[in-house]
Amino acid sequence: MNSALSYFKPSAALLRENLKRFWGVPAIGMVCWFFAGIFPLLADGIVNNNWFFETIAEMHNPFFIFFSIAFPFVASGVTMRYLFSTASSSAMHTLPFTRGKLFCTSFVSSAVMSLAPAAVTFLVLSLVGGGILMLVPFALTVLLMLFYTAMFHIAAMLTGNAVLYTGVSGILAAALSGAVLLVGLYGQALLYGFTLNGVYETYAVRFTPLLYIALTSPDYEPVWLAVYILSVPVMYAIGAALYSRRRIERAGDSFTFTWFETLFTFIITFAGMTIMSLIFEASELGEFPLNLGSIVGAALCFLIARMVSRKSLRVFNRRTLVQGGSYLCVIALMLCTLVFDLTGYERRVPDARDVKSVSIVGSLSYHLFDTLEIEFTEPENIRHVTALHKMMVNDSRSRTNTGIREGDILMNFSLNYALAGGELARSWSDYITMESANESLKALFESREAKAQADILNPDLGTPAGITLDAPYGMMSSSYYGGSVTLSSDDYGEFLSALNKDIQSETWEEFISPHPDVVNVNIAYNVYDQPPSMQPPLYGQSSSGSFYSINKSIEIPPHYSNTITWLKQNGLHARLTEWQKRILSAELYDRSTANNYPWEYETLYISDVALIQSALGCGRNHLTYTDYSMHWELTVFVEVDDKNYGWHDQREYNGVMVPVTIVNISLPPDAPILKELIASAK
Amino acid sequence: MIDITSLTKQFDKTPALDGLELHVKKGSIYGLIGVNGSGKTTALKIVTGILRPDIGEARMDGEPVYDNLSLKARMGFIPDELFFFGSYSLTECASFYKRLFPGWNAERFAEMKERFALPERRRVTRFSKGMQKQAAFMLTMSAMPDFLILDEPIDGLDPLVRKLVWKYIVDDVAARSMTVLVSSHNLREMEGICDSIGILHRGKMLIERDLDELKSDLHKVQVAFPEGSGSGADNAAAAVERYNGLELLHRETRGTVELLIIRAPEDIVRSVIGAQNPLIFDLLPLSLEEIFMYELGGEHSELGAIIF
Repeated sequence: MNSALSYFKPSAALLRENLKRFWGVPAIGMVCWFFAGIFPLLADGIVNNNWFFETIAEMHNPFFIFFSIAFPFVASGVTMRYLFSTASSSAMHTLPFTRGKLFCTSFVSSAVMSLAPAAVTFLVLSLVGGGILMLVPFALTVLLMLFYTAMFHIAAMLTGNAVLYTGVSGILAAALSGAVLLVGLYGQALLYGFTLNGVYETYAVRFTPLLYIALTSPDYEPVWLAVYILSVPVMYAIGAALYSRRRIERAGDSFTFTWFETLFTFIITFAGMTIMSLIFEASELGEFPLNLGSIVGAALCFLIARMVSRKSLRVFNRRTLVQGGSYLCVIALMLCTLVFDLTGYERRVPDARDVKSVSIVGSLSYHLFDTLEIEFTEPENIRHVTALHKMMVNDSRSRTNTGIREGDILMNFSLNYALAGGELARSWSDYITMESANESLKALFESREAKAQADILNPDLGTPAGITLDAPYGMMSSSYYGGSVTLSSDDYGEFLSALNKDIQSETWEEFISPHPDVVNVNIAYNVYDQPPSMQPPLYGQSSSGSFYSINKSIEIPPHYSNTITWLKQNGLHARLTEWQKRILSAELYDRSTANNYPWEYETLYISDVALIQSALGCGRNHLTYTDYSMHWELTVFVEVDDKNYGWHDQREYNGVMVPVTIVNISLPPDAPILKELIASAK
Repeated sequence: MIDITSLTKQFDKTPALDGLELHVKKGSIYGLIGVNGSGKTTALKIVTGILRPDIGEARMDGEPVYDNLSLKARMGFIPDELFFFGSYSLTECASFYKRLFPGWNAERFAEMKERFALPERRRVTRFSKGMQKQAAFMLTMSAMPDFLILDEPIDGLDPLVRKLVWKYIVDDVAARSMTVLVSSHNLREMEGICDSIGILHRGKMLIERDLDELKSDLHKVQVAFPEGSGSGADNAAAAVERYNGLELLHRETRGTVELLIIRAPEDIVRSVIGAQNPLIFDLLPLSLEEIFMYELGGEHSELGAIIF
């Protein structure tokens, strides 16, 4: 009992000696903290340094973050250094200290040496203007320093010399996040639908408090701060337990526990195997994770790790053979589990009844719902999302090699489920057929939730502050022909109502039908509830207060009848399509006739302007068809006025060089206009 | 009192101690003898609680030593390989020890400082090996330990300092009943100092004896008989008859003179040999080396290699 209690009672005599002997650590610490925290204020003047204080308050000062891990590492290393030599460890364990007292004293000494300079710096900062704002960053710094002091004490318990202490400290600091990333790498390579997004990405950051506190400031989740706080006594207990079992005779060895020697060898071997495999994949010498690199990396790193562990080059013995064999078995088991999906990860689709909400994130959401993330909470929609999930699992084209067909579109997207008992995320980069028979997508596209998301009159979007209309077709800037229109604020209401009506009534079949876009609309909204940390020029000031802007771009297809009618009624349609009257000629070529290079195509020259104008309506919509190699490319030349708008391509018409801009239209091989174009070609 | 029972310790599956038994009486000086690698230092490190044994236990005054704070406060250990805080002078070391050891005796330290005449303000780590040993001895002895454990204590010390060191130890044993366990690879060094001797060989205790008891039963006798009385190298059978009743451990003839090692009480030796009317009959002093050699089976025993 007394022995156990000694783990919480430092020796005042030894604490005093430690602070006396290692005074250099807090002294260097003070210098570092001074130059990172106080010197900038002295250099710039204390007045008007709110930004500096805010940076510190939000834990965005990289030096402060670095010191929070660096000084605990140094302080723990020097106070525990006596364990790394036979003479000093014998001497210390002869003196009237229990191991518990030695451990506790070392921890307290390290913490004091790390924290003292930080405390002085934060005190000065709070006195010279930071005030109460410095309280939270100081508390977080204390938390980080105690966390890493406890962690590095574990490293000192596991190792027998300073070099390995450094290495193992690094491994421990990055272990959990690194493990998540490694699992992610192998999962992504071997499991269909695996994602590092969502839960995995979240944990990769959260498992390293330094990253979490630096990257997620100031929106910390109390539960994670509580986890870090609780981790300190847990790690302290682990360190103390290791000390009580540590064999002092292993001072100077690489490791003090045989089991950790094995673990270290496995970690280094696995890391080497993974890194070399990735390097070989990057050099196109085989696919990750199984290629020559993985074998070479594993073998090399295994031997190196064994040599480091044993502090000897003579490692070719039975024990090495046994350990190598064990490693192979573990890796084989892991790869088999992933390759054959023994856990059923790929096939797992949550029961719609268990799903509270689900988000579609990525290109699928962007293409269908004009937002990078859309959330569904209605049971019917959740059921359609799980049906989509099942479709991805059962119809995984890239894996079953069923081939890509016309109408397919490559989508990178994730489904993030919030379940009753946690979270579940899957992510794919695969082809989806945009067809009317796709009931799930049709239902989701036409759902009330999706339409509400697309509602451009939603007050949450902000106040419309500017609407411009432009011609479509990418490179074809309206500036060239003066066709760009900026609506008067008086017209916002009518125009947005017409547009919203079209958006809300658009059917799935209309959406996926091949069509060109007629007009581009850009709506700027002012949002008057800006985040306090935003800096100019992201927000500005107006009579209504400070605001920031968001922009929404919408392509108007031909079936947006209400919008087009409004444009015609207001005389804008003709103006926006006026550029079509400036078409001079076009060139047509078949991509399928050449391999890769444009100069290999046989080009047809078309001068029938009316025919070219008809062809403009035969291009596909913004849902990109994948098999471009089978398409014909129509390159349309449109005259521009270069007097006002700078340099342009020049083409000769009737002996005169005319400035032009180019519009490219991709025509599928079955487009009826294609035959007419070919027939009219010169 | 120090008791070690059934102590077994392995380093990476290499046995260092194998069922070691060791018993040191309170207020006595125990010499632990053995060649390099016999396990002396390991045994001492277990006695001082530095190492934890695989099997067995070390106790002092009946209490287990390992992680025992109160015992450590009563114990002083001077290892063969010394360690001092890097930048500390002797005075700084002393003030550290003063805070650690409840029995610290400042007067003793002041007195020893004068006797040993070591520089007070120089870093101890800059001292020569011998000076460091003296410094360690001063610090340890000033802590007034009840148990003093010494690993090869006089290596590197000049004869005058050795004498001084032993004087302090013997005085404390006499005055305070301090219990001393001292290791050495040289039996001669231990002669005249130790009350008990244990000989360690390959991790096992070959023999553990109280020296007074040993010396009282083992005798080296130089004897010569008149010519024609059957003495000499050629008459071993007659010798067996002549020394009947005595345990003859060794017999050597040099001309007409016989050199005998006999295990028996002195009065019996005198009466048996005296009854033969020898021309010369001397009881010679027996060195510690000879005692152990004959105790363990004669000069051809492998012990010769261990203790000399």
